[in-house]
Amino acid sequence: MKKIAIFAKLTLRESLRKKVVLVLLGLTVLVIVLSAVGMSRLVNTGLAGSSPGDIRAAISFVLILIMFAYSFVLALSAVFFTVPAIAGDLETGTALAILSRPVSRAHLLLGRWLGLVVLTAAYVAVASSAEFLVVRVVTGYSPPHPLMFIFYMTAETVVILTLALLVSTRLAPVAGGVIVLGSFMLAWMGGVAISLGRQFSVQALETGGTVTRLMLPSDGMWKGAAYSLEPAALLATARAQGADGIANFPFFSLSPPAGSYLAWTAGWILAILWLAIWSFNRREI
Amino acid sequence: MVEALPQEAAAIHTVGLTKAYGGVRAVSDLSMTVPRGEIFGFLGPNGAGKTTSVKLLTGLAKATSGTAWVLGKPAGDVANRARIGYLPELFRYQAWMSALEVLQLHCELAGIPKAGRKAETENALVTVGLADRANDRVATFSKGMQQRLGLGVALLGTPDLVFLDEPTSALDPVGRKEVRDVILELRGRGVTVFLNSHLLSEVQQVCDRVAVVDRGKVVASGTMADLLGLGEIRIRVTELDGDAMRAAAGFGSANKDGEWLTVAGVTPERVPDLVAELVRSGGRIHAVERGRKTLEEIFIKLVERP
Repeated sequence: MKKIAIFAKLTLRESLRKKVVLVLLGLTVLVIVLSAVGMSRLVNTGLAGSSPGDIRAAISFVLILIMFAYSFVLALSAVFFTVPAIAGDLETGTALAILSRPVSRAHLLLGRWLGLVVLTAAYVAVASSAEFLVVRVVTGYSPPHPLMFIFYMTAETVVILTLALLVSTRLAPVAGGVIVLGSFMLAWMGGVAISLGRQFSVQALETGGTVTRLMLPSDGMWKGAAYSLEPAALLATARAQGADGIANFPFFSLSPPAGSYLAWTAGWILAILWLAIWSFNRREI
Repeated sequence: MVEALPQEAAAIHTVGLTKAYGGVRAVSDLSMTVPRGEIFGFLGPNGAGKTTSVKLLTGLAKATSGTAWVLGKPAGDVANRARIGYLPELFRYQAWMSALEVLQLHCELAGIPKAGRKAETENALVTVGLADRANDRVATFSKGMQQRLGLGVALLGTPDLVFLDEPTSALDPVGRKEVRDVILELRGRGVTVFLNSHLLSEVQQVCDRVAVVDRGKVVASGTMADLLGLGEIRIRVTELDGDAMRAAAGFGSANKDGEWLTVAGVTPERVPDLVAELVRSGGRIHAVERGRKTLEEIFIKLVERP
């Protein structure tokens, strides 16, 4: 564990020293400021005169859309941070000096993973709390389950970065990045397929989407994040509207992921990590 | 007293060590013994399998077949690596860190107790001449400075065995001399040094023992004295008959080329006897000298492609 911690610390330090993190933080602040301006306009001009319930519903919906875009940027950043994690060490040769020390390749890989998970969780917690706080100050609205949102958003990113780490043990950063981002997009499309399948009663679409969701549970975790931002009133409306309403909208979820699906996701992450260690151990360096 | 097995007594002992990448054998049936406390030169042309051999010995690569022991443990033993220092041929360190931070990281990785780390890093920085650049980022270092840093990293934690893979490839003549001094100082402390190099004059100056590899196989090995043919005597002699040649052959493998007779394998004490024997057989001696080949001549002869 001590050796894993050395690499986790190294990963954190390395990330924090890179200028890209500063740029990412700057962009986050910019997005938060812009969303505050947008929300304020929405409340004071666009929705002026609407009932408080409608305003709440509209704000909650806009917030879900903002957070969806945010989840996208987060996944993108996770991929670009992770794909060079192992491949970069191998390409530059820094791995040679490190791995000749009394540490195993599993230590390096798990340390990198842990460092990236901590970084992700911290960033998600800080950035989403800031966004929620700003929305609250500007509009008076708070999402119903902010902690649950942080959990699911982190889980979605961890799914992506774990896959990126596996790919990193075999492929050069650019090729790996393209593959993981492609998979992330496919998983999102799988989620859309499930919604469409339900909306138009096409079983094949729903089955296909479910298979994708099992193979890469990132979109499944996003549904949990979306659910945690839906106020009870909005959920009630969606339920009342039935299939004709927003229930099957790709950014919406009528229920949080089932316990069994959460267990599947945890198992998936562990299995991919194990596969990554296996793959790294067999890699010639 | 029971004599220790070679794998326990030696710093490095390999038997039939082989590494194949696909169909290509990078290292083939490598068997050698490196005694403890010596400077061992591992020579060979580019692509001979030198770096792959070091990777096998440090546990960075797994052998296809054969066995290797390093400091009495199977090569690649994780705990044993705390006693080993390694400067890779491809020396790259975290560009975003300072030299001091790189050394601190390697102290931590090597399991050096916290209390000893300050002295370790300071020593290493002074030894490799980077004390005044300790807090500069590696990204600002020249190749030579990065190689010096790599040497500093390899020296951390007073290792028993240090692998240096082309340690002076990026250094100027002054830097090379300094590295040679460091290597000799290591031997003075009883550290075994495994030196991969094709800078033959460098190897000739510091190594006690060498092995020459070509296409993955050892083609010659022995002490530097053996390899340089210090047991070879050249005698300019005239009026030598068949009897005298037979007499000379009794001292070692004799060869006549014009007026020069070369006898290999003669110990220094037997040289006067050899000369006396030749004179007795009617030979007229004009000159006697030791064989003086350079390592380069021997090396080129060994790895020459027909």
